[in-house]
Amino acid sequence: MWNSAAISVCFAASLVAQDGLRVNFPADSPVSVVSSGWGESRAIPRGGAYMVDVRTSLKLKNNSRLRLRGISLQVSSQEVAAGGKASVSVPSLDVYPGQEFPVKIDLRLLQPNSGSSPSLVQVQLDGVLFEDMSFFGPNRLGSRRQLTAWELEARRDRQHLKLILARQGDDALRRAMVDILARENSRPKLDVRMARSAAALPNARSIETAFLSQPGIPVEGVKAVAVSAGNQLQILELAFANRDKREVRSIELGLLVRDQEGREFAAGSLPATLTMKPNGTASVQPSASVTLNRPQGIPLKVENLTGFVQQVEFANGDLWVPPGSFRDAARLAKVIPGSLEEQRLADIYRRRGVEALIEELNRQ
Amino acid sequence: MKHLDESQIALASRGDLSGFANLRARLHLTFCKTCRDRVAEYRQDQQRVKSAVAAFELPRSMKWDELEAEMFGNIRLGLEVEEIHRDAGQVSPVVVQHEAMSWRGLAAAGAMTAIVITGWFLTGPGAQSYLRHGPSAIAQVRSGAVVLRGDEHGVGLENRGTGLMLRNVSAPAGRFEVSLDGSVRASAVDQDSGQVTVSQVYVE
Amino acid sequence: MSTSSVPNSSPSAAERELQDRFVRENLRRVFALIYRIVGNVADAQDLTQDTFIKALQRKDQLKDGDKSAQWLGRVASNTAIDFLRRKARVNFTEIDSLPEPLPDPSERRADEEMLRAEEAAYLDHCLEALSVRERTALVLRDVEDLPASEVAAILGCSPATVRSHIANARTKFRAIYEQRKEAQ
Repeated sequence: MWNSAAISVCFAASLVAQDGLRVNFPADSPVSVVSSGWGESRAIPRGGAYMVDVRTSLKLKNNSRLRLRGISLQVSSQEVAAGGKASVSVPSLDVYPGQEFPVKIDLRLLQPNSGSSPSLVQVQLDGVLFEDMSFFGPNRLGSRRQLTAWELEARRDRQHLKLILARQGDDALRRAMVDILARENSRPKLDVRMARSAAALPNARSIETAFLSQPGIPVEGVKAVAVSAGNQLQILELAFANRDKREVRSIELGLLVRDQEGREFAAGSLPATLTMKPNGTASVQPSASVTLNRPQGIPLKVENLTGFVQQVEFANGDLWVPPGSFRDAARLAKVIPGSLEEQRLADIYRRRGVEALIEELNRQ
Repeated sequence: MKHLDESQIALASRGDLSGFANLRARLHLTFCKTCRDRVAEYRQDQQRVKSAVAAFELPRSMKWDELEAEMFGNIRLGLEVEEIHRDAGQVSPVVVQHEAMSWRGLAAAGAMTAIVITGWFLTGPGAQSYLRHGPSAIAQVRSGAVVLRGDEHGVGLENRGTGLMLRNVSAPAGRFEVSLDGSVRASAVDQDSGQVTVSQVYVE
Repeated sequence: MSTSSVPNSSPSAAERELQDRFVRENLRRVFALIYRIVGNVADAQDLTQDTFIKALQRKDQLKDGDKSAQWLGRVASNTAIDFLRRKARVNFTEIDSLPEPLPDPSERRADEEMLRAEEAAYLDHCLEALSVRERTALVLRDVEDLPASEVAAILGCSPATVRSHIANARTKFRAIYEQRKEAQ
């Protein structure tokens, strides 16, 4: 049973299969696959199971007439990890028509040693977003909303940094990037474990809740009921009011928690499908409890929960994200992570300096 | 006759008084039925404490069988990690940081009677620092038998002995977030292409 | 495409079997001990795992059945107390409250089962009423059967102090248990 030597011989042979990776894009997809393959891979026998590591780089091509801004791929493997899905997305792209671009996938599969060959890995297109915010793809994983939100945030943050550069020069841009990097490094991290269950928390007590003041917001939080028991938190009800003229389809709420010492932490987000006509209201009752610990396992006793609306999707397909000024308050900038674009631009600055950053900002 | 005080009786019930106090108590108990009866009650308490400790009850959302299986799997995993370090001729970190290891263990599948190890992040660039120091934080979502997990090295999804993990495409630690509708996301910037890649796992 | 296998110097099948049996025979007891010290399931789980991983590397200690079980109890206690000390930054006496709530005793089952469950819940209540120090000293002395001198060494206090903790724990337990009897 634990004869690992025999297992490793067996599976080293079976991994030579040439069709281990299947990339399925629709026939009419504006993005095509130029090349794909297992790439580097290895099999690691471990007792009664084996792990397969796959590092692959897909080469894709933009066959449309528009610049491509983002792509989402669904990654799956037959009979592995049923009950869940996985995806790889690359936002903040700028791929010209006819241009090729890479998408890297670093994947590990775990399979019981049942004697059969390794599972096939499938990569399917979930969606692509173009410069005019048009979208193509089956959208099974909600990538349309996600890619659109990321693109809106990216444009917002690039514009913000361009303004700093234009009004205050290179040094100001440099200082802004240093602030971003410093905040990222010092952002307090939290261990968040969530269980999807409607069971009530025993010995729970009500905690103070609030919504951040966000002027001009299309959907306002009007009620939040939450309880905590030690380091466990349960949000019982959230209610919202639609202040916009458009019908709302869904929102995403960011969550902040505060502990007994007054320290604040970002505790994840809560998407909610809410149909709200203009001036209408709606509520949700999330069925989940969350256990929060500081790193090193120190329980975080939740005293206060604050919500802020970080995304609104309208029934007509429009999407709203908060303006850049939303995180201007020092307290929020320290706690709420910046956008993916901010992460990308900060990395450019960190590795290649302000000149490379300016070149990147001017490119788009 | 002055009786033993309550503390003395409590300690005498298991011979925990020291030196002279012990001798005096034993002499007193020879003659005093009242104190002997009290000592007997304390001795019964020892059995009650033993049974209370043995009969602990988990919170209602948890089952001992599942917890036991998970711990068994993780212990086996931790021992496997030690073997890897020995293979590599490295000094063992001795103990896998407990911060990391709350994967579910598994029951037998097919002809196997052993528990399948769910051991991710075992080898590869992030593994050694991960094993020595543990991640700085994690995000985890559990829904039935499905467990999602994310940390600065990537995200993973596991269900009954099978798993799929998407690791960050580059060595520098990325960022990760949990969404309370049942998904975990990690993002990192690829050092080769400069692209930011987002890996996400969802509960269906 | 290239594939490679990682070299594997696993213990023999017989050794693994022994390890697995050792874990199975002692897992619940060790978990219960640690759970009573640290007071919550998540930490108890992680520390239990750590305990066995440490213990199973000391093959010399595992040969004698009874002695190894007692030795395992010491490793478990030390692991749990070291954890509490790290958490409290030296003085683990600062940790008094338990984050893990007791199960709701309002869940009732019939007849004898109900009585048994009620008794178990009340004994739990008696234990939970003790401070962490008192409960730890009581569990190490009266459940793990460690000599008082050893309990003192594990807790990092003098023998006189540990006797005081043990006495307080036993008298409090008795007092709370007797309250219930009087109420019935």
